[in-house]
Amino acid sequence: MNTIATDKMAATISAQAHQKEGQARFRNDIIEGGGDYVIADAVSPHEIFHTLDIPVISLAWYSAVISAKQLSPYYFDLMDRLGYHDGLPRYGSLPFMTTLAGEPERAPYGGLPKPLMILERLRGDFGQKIGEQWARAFGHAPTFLLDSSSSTRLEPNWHDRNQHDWEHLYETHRLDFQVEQLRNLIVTAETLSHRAFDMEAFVRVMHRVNAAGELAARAKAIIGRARPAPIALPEQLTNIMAATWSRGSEWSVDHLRNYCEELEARVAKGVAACANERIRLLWVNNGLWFNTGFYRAFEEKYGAVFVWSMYSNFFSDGYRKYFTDDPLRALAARHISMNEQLHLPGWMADWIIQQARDYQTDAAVMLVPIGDRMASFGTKLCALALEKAGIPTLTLTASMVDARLWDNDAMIRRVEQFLEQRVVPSL
Amino acid sequence: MSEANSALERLRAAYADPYAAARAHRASGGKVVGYFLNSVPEELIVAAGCFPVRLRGEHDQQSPLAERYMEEYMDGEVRSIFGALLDERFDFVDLIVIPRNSEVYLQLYYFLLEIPKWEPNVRLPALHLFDLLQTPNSTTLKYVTGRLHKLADRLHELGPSRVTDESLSKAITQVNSKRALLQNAAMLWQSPAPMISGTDALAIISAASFMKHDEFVASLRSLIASPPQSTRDRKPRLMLKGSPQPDARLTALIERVGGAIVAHDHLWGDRTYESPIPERSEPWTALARHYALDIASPREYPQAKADDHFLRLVERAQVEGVIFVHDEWDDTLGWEYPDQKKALDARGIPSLFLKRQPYFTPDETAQTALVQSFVQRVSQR
Repeated sequence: MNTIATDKMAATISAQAHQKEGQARFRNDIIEGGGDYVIADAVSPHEIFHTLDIPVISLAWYSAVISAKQLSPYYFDLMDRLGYHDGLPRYGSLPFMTTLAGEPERAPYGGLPKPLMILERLRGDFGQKIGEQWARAFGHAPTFLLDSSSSTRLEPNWHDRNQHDWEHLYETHRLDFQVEQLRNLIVTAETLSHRAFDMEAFVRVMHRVNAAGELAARAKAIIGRARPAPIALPEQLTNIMAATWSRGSEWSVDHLRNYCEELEARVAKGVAACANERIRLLWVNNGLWFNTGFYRAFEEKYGAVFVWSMYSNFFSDGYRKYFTDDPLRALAARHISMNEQLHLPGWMADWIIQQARDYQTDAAVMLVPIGDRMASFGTKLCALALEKAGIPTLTLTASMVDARLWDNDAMIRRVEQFLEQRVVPSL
Repeated sequence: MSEANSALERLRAAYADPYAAARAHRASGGKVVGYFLNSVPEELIVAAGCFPVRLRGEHDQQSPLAERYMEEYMDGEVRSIFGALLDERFDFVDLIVIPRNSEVYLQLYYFLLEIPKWEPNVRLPALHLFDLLQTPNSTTLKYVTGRLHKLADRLHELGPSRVTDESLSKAITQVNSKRALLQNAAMLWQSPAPMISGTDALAIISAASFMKHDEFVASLRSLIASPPQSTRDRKPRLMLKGSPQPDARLTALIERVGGAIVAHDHLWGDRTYESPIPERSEPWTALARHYALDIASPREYPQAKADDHFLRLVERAQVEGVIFVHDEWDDTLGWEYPDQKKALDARGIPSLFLKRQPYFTPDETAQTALVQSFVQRVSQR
């Protein structure tokens, strides 16, 4: 007999408290105290700054916070007024808009003050345009461009090979270049912050990321095997993302260990996110940050539970890089193709089909983001591959962050029709 | 027919049938290397003994097969090129080199890698990714130099010749001669009394990437030596700027309603010939510096450098108005636009912004109305 989880997990409460502490520290040390901090792309080597004990604000995280606080419409209107056309990428531009607005009282956590540096990983063509203007808006903040070399081949099943066989998978010439860029970044960060990079501390950070990744894999195995799933997707995301943003810290390892133990206890007691779970779903592609409640909208009527999104276990599958003698090269391998693994046709589908099997899912709902086309590329091929693998797939076209463009009732109807027409009949 | 008309007709013909010379070269047993954008070093292809030809999309060719696999959010020209490849319309090339300095072309490369799984009967040409990076620092230059050597190795696999320092230097001199000639020719469309239209300017600049070297040089020399008569009509002098213009549809539309395009600032435009490669430098380093640092590119950095080229072209061509045009799914140029408009405003130069223009089916009625009104506005100043 299963019981519904009525309360948040202790781990979730702890993750939220950790984030609040981080925000308070940011306000106290950075905004009021004028301390150093770095603005960085989500997919960039935060580990270097963690080693130097310099806080990092992740662009994706701050965008998600702005969006979750329902502030995106205000900043998108500002974007329009300033002459940036309405087809430009939305996700990465929200934090930049909070600076152009010049209203710290409106922005989350009192807005972002001038950083020690902006770190851009140049995957798309526009990041450097935003970074350059943002640096100017801050009064010429230093900007470090981490250029993005490209794989010449996409070998199958990256997720089976990237933890140990990364030298071959990501190609030696690319890793050589990335290591040299990381060395340049370390020197730049040292020069700007007047701090010395401690290689031994860095090695410890790198080992802790692997240890936390192993715990994320353990959490994946627990959730994937358990029917019904012991945790709802929004809570999964809170726990995993808090550890991801704090990767390399002792807190992240301790937190994920507690999280796993609590998940195991829930499974042993038969505690479920949805007691009448009948259908298990994948949420494919980026998160719907302004409306995470959508993930749970189909539980009561259909027993349909989202058990996975790419954030559920990318920490375990994408971040871990084992090494013996060159931690910097392992760090290079971590980020060198990270987005590509999530979004390139072939690589994306390979991994997601494996997740569908591991999490015992019946169908997939895929977000095709508008206004952020980089995350939409490859979705057609991925949907075809999922269907070919026997996983019915619904695509929803929507903005990841712009609540103005979301018609909740229409989207719920579309998912309901999909469940009724393609999933329920085959149960 | 006068010599000028005859030369212009040859250049126009090459623009209208861009792959005729490549097909002829292939038919005679030579090797053809196709490439995209202005960022693949044709010097290497020439030094390897192959025929270089820049490939482009065609707005009237949309492939259902391409639409099945590629998202509509990709630039229209890339979708058209993807369709052309799936429909085997580039069957005259032995190798296609795809440059990395535009994200949508990098994506095209990965889509093409995936296609054999889905369409095993489609015969795609061999592909090579030229991983051109453009951050201005020595680490990146070293990487790009390595990628140039890799491309040279790949070209050598095609057969004709191995690229040596000597053959590369010779090829740099040869391609520079086209650039120098185009710089001289620019007075035909940029001078105070233009002798040819912006439509023909686009044809001439583009023909440099389609024709046999000697034939292009001979035709353009001939045109420069005896240029057509300047028209007496005084038309507003305009620049077309923004997304690549692989065809002359918009240029012709603007000129039909009374504007004169005297400068093109896009990846088929005047910047393609602006910067010669230093001939006395070590050739590989010079080539790397040129393609990483000097060419027009979506990833050019910093923006001020690109804007400096833009504003110098505005001054040199005595531009009186700028028409910005951005592809329907542009996610990059729009970030530059507000600052560029401000710079024009500060100089008292009016501008028109045609944003989010579909590649396959632009609303030409709406474009005509907007451009007509803009041309009148510039005329009245």
